[in-house]
Amino acid sequence: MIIQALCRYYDILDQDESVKIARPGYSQANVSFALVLSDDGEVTHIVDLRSDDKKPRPQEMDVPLHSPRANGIVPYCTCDNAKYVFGVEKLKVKEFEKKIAKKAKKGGPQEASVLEKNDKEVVLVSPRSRECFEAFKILHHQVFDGVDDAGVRSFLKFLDRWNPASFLNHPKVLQYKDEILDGGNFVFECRGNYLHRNGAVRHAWEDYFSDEADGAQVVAQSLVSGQDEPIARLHQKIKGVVGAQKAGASLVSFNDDAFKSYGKDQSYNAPVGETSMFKYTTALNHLLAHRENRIGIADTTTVFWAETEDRTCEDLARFLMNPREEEADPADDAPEDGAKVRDKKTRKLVEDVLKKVRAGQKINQADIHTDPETNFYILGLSPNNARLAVRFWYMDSFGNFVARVGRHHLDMEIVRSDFSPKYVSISRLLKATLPKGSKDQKSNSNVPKVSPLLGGLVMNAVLKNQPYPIQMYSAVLDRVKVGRSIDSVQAGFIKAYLLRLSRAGGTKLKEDLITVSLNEESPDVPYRLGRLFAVLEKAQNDTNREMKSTINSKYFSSASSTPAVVFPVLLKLAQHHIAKSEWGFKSSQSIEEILSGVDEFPAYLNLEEQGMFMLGYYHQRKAFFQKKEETPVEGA
Amino acid sequence: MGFGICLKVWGDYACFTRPEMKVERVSYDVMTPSAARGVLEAIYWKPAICWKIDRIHVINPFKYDNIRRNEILGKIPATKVKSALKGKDVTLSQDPNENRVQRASLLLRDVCYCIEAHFELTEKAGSEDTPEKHYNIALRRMRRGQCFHHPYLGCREFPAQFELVEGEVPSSSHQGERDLGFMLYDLDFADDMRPVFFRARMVDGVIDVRECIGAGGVS
Repeated sequence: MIIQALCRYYDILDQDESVKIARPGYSQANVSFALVLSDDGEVTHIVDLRSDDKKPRPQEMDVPLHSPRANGIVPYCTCDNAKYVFGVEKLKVKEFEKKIAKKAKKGGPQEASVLEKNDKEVVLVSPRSRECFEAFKILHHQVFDGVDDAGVRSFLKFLDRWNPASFLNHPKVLQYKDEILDGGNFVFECRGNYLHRNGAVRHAWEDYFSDEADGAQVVAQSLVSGQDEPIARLHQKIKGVVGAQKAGASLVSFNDDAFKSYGKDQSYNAPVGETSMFKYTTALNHLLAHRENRIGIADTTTVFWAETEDRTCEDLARFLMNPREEEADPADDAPEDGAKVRDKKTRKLVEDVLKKVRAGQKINQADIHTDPETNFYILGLSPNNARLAVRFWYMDSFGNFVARVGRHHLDMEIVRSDFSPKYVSISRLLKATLPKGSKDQKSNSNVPKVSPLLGGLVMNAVLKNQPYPIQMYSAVLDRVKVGRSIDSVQAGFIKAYLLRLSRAGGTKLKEDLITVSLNEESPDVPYRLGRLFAVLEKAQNDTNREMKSTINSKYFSSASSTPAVVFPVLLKLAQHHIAKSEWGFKSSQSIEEILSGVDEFPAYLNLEEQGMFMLGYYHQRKAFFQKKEETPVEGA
Repeated sequence: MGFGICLKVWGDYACFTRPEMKVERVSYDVMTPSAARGVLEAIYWKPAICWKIDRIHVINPFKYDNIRRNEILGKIPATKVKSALKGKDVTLSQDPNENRVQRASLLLRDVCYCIEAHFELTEKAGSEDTPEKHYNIALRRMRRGQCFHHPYLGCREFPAQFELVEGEVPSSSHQGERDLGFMLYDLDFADDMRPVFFRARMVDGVIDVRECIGAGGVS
């Protein structure tokens, strides 16, 4: 399922020339410096590969595999940090005293030689760093002895000649001393070529790597391929899931006794072949590292991909799930960069697709520029300490996906002011349950305070074209009542919820009564009451603009749930406002018109009726402001 | 094969955990043969017989749900149990407040399956163990709803209801062919508890386990 699909996606990426993805035996690493070697193995230059930003960032490169290393000494091939490359490390004074100086006092073998010392830090060749360097040297002799290549020869010469104790005597090294010791990685350059990209080096490494992998291993049936093959004991970490540990978390791991069965240890509990393990972790890391494939929904990091090389698919999917919010002015004359052009194209595409969905037509190849039968996947991950949990998993054809998300956007459609977004992203929708203007709603912080269950539930409803979860609906209603105002997102959701509920037959409401904009003909009593409330509020507002406590702030919540108690009072109050206001006759006209369809005020409105009330209120308010363009929108 | 039975099992929840995601549990789409075997063994099993699953009918459409549960981290070590058996004074309980952990599960809602199975006699069968006898005991127990322990759907928390199907197998809501990928068949307890996987293929809601295994070439 998930792992299988990721493996297939790896194969697709692997085929694609334009995509940078690690091949077996290689991985991506952050490289800070390149050491330029002469033919004699001397370091002639040190090239800073980091970006020019305020805080320099290292470059990402495809280098021989950096397998997970914890406390052991594990050298990496042709790319490593100063401890391994130069055999030198930097320690804080405190650490130095704890680790090295104490041992020396006790009369232990004092092997550490201090090269430089100041108040804070000590640069030294410790027994451990010396060991690291030796291991680094031995590894490369193992891999490269017998390789006939000028670059390799000079590299081996460098290793043989280098003496960690002479670190600070080297003029080039001295120049970058501090940065070098900060733990960044180095690569080597010989005769104008990076050593790790050299054909002979790659060949030697791949041979070595596959020999290594064939060594004593457990062979069993892999649950991905079904073949008998070597099984991975540990799985590579997955990086980039929001809220997870920085070094990465595992999707497949068995770190406690309760997770083990039948006496199996670690990942032998779930036999996944080495190659499959490499493929799925690499593909998932690739997806998580790319903004085009990743969105955040509440506390869940979501990746999605289509089983194709075509990027249009991903643009479209991304737009549907996470529409750009700053799309207010499509007629913007600003110079267009590539991304914007692509964005415009996508938006046009979305309009076309939605038109089709509205008409109930099937989406075909021409609409989305891709085969609608292409498999499409969405995977929602959320962290739980060192592990990742699958929050939701969706697979379907791309055509179905587009149709369903399109349906969602159509259901959400509602009359709105110019500056509110036309398409609402899921995360924005979830934020509609939060207090307006609160820190949580505004911030794009990674851990919004939306209830963690809602994200999955709403996504599920959207993707399966099912009624939206009632939890979300009541959360929105509560928010509207407490906030005493309703915005287009909230109104849109209430409308969409009622629409789907009535389509599924879960309510007596008729589908055609739930409209995008004001429906003056609607006989629905709660809807009419909502409109009435908006009119009464306006009557009050027309009379006196500078009021602190309005009928809205006092009665909104009770009017929407127990109208029989509130409305008689409000209507009486309104008489005073009407008498005072120059617009009074208009207000009483509207009140009369609206009340003509209401026989009596219901004592109590249920959740669905409350939704209709709010919809009526929202529509009526929007209708006021649309007629008179110039009216400023007060704190709605 | 003459003594095949067909048992309908259903329940509100089910979780047939995928081994690769058994920590933060994710369920397979359908019941696994080993889970079906577990259900049958809960109802009737003797050392003389061993149940073999032939076909699994998937009646209801796939529905998923996401929940979190409080579970615990450790196990009671086997060595402690052994010393308890020897009469030593040890505690065999676990304190859920001490090592509690919250784990997420993606599980199935509202499931219904029909299990077609038969049993074979094992080496342990004695002279009085005839297939007819065990078949009739099994039938009687299933008709009456008797069981040794309550059968469950993947996890103990999800009890299964069952009834013997003696007429037509209920029709499935699934149409067409669907590849469900590699699924756990069962553990080979004879060979170091080795898990065996098979490629599950569902045709019109029916997974023919024997046929799948025959095609996939696994034991």
